[in-house]
Amino acid sequence: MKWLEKIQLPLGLLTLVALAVGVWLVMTAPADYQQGDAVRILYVHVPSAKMSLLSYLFLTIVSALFLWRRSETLDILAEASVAVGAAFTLVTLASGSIWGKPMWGAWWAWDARLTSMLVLLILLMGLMALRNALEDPLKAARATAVLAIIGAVDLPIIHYSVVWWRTLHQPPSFAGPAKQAITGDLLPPLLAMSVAFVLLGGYLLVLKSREVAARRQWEALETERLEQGHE
Amino acid sequence: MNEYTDYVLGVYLLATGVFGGLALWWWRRIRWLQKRLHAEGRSLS
Repeated sequence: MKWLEKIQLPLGLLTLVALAVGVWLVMTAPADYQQGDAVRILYVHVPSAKMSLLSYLFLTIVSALFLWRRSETLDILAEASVAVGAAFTLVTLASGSIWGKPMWGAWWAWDARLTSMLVLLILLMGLMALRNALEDPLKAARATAVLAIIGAVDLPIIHYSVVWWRTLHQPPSFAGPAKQAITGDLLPPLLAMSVAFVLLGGYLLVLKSREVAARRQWEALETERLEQGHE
Repeated sequence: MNEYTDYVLGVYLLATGVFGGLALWWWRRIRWLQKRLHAEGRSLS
């Protein structure tokens, strides 16, 4: 995992620059004619939601590859992407809730999009709990990989929930079916923040993967020492 | 920005806290584990 160490600093710096540009565009963008300044919440909410789905898609791919190749690197990436995905999902739900209060008049609604997103957070927390509950690391890796793949069924449900059901949540922000997608002055900050969040997701994944790898190495050393002590 | 300022600030502070907090926490954990491994004569693989 030496390659992760090599990209950590440049990726971190690139993320900071991208976030600075994104926040500057957010602050200088005009307020929405209907939502006023509350639209600025969406520049965090929408990219965070995209990253929740992208993180889970990545998790599904590395889980499937792990079941096929049995490589520990793939399992480390899977464990890391669960934590990163949970962080983005939490921020998506919280920012959506904070936006919902002034716009909808409620912190929460049992709407199809919100509920399927909450299911994603519960699923990610379940994956963390399952990995911690099983003592055998190989069994834990296999079980979480299988559950992660089964859970991927939630991704199309989240994505198409605003199309399939009559929801309070608006249609997709990018290229919505009813031409309600974000355009004009509101698009540059959204695109800039989306790029910044992709980089942020990559940086967090690098950090968490290195942390998981170091922790596993330390645990292996401790086990080795314990076994030597018993001999 | 004067309309809904509290809500907007709340979201940006929350996102900074969650992502910045996690990044800092994981970065410190790596450094701590690295030091312990180094003390045992190992290096991060």
